[in-house]
Amino acid sequence: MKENPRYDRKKVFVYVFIAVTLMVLLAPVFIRWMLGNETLLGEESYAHLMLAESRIQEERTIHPIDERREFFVTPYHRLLAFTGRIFGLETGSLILGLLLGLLSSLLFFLLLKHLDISLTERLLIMLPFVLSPVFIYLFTTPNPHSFAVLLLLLGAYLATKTYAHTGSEEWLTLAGKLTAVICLFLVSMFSLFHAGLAIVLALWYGIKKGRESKKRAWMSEWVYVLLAVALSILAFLIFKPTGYYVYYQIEHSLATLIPLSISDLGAYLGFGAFSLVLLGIGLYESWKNKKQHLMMYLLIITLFTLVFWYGNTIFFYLLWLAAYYMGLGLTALRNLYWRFTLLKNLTLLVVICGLLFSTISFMNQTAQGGATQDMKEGLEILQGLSRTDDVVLTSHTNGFVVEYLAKRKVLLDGAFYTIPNLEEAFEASYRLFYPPDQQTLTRLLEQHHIQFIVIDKKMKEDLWNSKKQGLLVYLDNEKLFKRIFTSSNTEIWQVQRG
Amino acid sequence: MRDMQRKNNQKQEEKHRSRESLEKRRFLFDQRWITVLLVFVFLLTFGIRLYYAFSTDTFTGDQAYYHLRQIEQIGETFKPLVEDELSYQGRTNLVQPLYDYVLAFFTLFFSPEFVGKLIPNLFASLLIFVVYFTTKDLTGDPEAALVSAFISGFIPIFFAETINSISPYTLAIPLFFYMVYCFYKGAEETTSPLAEKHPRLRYVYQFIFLFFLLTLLNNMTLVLLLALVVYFILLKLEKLKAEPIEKEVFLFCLFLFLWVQLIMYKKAFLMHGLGVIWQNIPEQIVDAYFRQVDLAMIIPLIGIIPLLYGLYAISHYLFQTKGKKEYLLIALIFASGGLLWARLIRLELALMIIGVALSILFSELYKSTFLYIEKTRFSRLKLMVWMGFILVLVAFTTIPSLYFTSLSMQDALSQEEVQALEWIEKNTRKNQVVLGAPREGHSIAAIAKRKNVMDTNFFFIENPGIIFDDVKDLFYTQNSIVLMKRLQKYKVDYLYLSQRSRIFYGLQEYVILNTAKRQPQCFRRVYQNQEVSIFKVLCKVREL
Repeated sequence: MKENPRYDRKKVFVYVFIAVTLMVLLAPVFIRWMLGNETLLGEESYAHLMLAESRIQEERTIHPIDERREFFVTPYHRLLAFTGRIFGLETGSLILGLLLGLLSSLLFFLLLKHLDISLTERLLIMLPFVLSPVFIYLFTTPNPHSFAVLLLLLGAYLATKTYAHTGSEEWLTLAGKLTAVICLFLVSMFSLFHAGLAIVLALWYGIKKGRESKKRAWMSEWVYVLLAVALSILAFLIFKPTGYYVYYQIEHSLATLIPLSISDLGAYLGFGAFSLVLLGIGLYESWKNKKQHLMMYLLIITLFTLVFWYGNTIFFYLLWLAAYYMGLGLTALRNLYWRFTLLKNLTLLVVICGLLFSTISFMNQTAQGGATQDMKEGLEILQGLSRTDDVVLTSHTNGFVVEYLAKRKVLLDGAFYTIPNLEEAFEASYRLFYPPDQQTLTRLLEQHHIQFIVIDKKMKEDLWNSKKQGLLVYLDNEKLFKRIFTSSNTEIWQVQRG
Repeated sequence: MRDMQRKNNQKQEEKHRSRESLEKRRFLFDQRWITVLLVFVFLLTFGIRLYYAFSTDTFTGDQAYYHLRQIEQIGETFKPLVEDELSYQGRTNLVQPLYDYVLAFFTLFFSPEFVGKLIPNLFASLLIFVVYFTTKDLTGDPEAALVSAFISGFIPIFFAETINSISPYTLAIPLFFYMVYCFYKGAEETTSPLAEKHPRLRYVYQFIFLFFLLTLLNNMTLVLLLALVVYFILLKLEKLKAEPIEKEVFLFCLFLFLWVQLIMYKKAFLMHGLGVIWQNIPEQIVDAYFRQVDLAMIIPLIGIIPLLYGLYAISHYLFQTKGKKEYLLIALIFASGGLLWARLIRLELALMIIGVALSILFSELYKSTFLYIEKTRFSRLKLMVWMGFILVLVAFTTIPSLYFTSLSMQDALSQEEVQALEWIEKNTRKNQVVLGAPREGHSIAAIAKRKNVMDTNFFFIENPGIIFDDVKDLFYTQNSIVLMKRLQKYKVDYLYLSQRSRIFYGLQEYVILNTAKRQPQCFRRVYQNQEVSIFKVLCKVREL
């Protein structure tokens, strides 16, 4: 019997796609390991590890280090804690991210199939999607959004999956729809934003099905929709999550947002320049059928508006919609009538090279960012030399790293919404980094029980213009400070109490 | 179907062209004479350029010395100067190496200084041929093309800014307009009857190759891309169709530009973000680089006659007739003007592009003018009219050009300054730091071969605004403690005080000289001539 080459080709594409996804997700971690850095990517990773590590008694948990602060725990942290018991927290978080990434991209691929998109178009959508810096960041940095996104995709997939309407398989349809409802229920536990998103998606599904199905089928679909909406509201009322799960929350203007949204301009989380061009082309192409795409446009506009308040992490949810249009853009370029094939091939080659360049550039940038191995070693020394109630002064971007690795309190970390008297903490931090005089410095150190100071290279570049400015001027005073650790990247100083 | 459409478009275009442009006129000179005159114009332009360039041993503008160092470095090591120990006492340069490599090639035969004088002027003079062929293709009138070529050789801003400054514009501008020519010819060769069976893409390949080269040379390819967008918009408004090859080339070049820019400026983008567009120039002086448009300034810098004729041609083609090729030139003018207005490109570059584009458009009206004259009683005196016309052109383009060039040449480094810098090289140690104004930084590095505190390349420099203010304070402050602290911050060993920087800072006399007199134990004058004083810094501030 002859093999069906079309069947084999599909399998090959799928295997290649899985391999590429794996490579893309593993590469930043491998680059980091090859550079001798065993710490996790991203600054907020350690915040989530800390929460998973702590005793999870209720949905809210006390900060493991600072009892004054309450954190909200999501289903992700429970999943992370479970994985951590098997593999250890740090390795477990990486494995979890990898699995979530693979499953999410597979689900997205299958979801596109449900939408009757051809194999070629699906692959053209998956290409900018998998190569997107947003995708890489989402699944290589431990964060709750990775699980929320998987749940949303799973819910969407199960809701749109249709089975043959035979008696024995109807139960599969029922199970699928109910599981989709449960997924939306779980997603609503993350935050108000997630609850809202779940409700919007459920309603969108209901409206879409209403147009496509007969009356009886439409009514049965709306049962699930209403159930999903009700459970989402219930989840929010019972668990009372935060408005949105984000750290380092700063409000943006358009001027600050643009450079912070493009990874090629140095954004830690953003789209590549070529992706944005393809997105533009895809949106332009889709405008011919604007009525069909109306809901997508509205969702994109809404999510983009939320970026101004909640920051770049909204891109995790924008990614799927954006990837669809990027794929459309790539398809349009490919299908455009080119008089000269050579130019067409060269153009497509340049586009793919451009996508790859943004990806590789982002991987390199991410792999070298965040905590360093020598900071980890220094913090272990700090832990040994300090008491449990000692406070460490460092920039808020290092806050979680210090809290997790040294198990000590910090003046500021990225969870702004949990810090009591946040403005006072910011003011104190500023005055400590730029003390007007020695007296003020010692008074503030005493007032906030600061016993240690951790300074890394990035802090020196961001906070001070020269080696002899602000706090740095006073560090050489042996009566005030003693250096207990130094490396190419990190210095740790102990405050000398007279 | 597409052929039918193309033919319809061509018919439409011809129908809307003015009657005069379709008429053949009797030329004053035959092609042989035109060629001779063209060569004469080239030699005249080149000769005048060389006359001015070699009237001094030195170069105008600090950037010339930066390129000189690059040329010397490439000549010795075949690699550009990326890690520079002298600039800002050690920094990484962002290098666009093509121009320096081209010039470095000639150092196999001549000295770098000679190459810096000769070759840029040769490249700049070649613009005459580019404009001639482009204009001839546009109008079919070799005389008009000759006159346009003559004007382009003496566009005041292009002449003055490129004569003695080793400027990449000398190569970039001729290449840019040759690409415009290739764009025209590329569209033509793909629409000819033979194109279907035997498509030839000579000019298309040239365009793409030159586009890639120009992206490595200068960022003016952005102007071309924006101009093509405006061009397509103009075509749409005039209900003309763009050729498929034009759209395809544009798409390819857009993506190629984006990719090359990302590769070349990746580190700069990571460090400076969108500040890359303004080259990380300190806020205090960015206005001097990206200046506001002033009509009174534009007229003499472009030339009144090409400006007026060119503007008339623009209005003629926008409101009366149609012409695809003219629309591209008009689009270039609009794109340059738009970017200038938005302060995204420098005034000099915008005016150079506008000036050359206007000189090409000038030919349309020149042709119309002489067609009209042929119909009047002055037709018998055509040669005299033509000569009178040329005299007027000379008066209104060549003379302003030479005037601005003279002003520019006065700005060249003087012999006294060179002597002072050479003294530094001979009488100080290699790793010592010399403080001068930022616009003297490159000459300190190139001639004195010593470290400078600041120069006019700002990429990969953190907080250039702070450094600029610190250097400015050094020239203004009367507080000796502040002065000494600043000098110590930048480890300054010598002060290079020239008349040039005194004028730049608007000082009647250097404040620092008074401090030097009050504290002779801290400052000792080690060199002086009519233009420059050099002081050695002897003291340091110690914290109690």
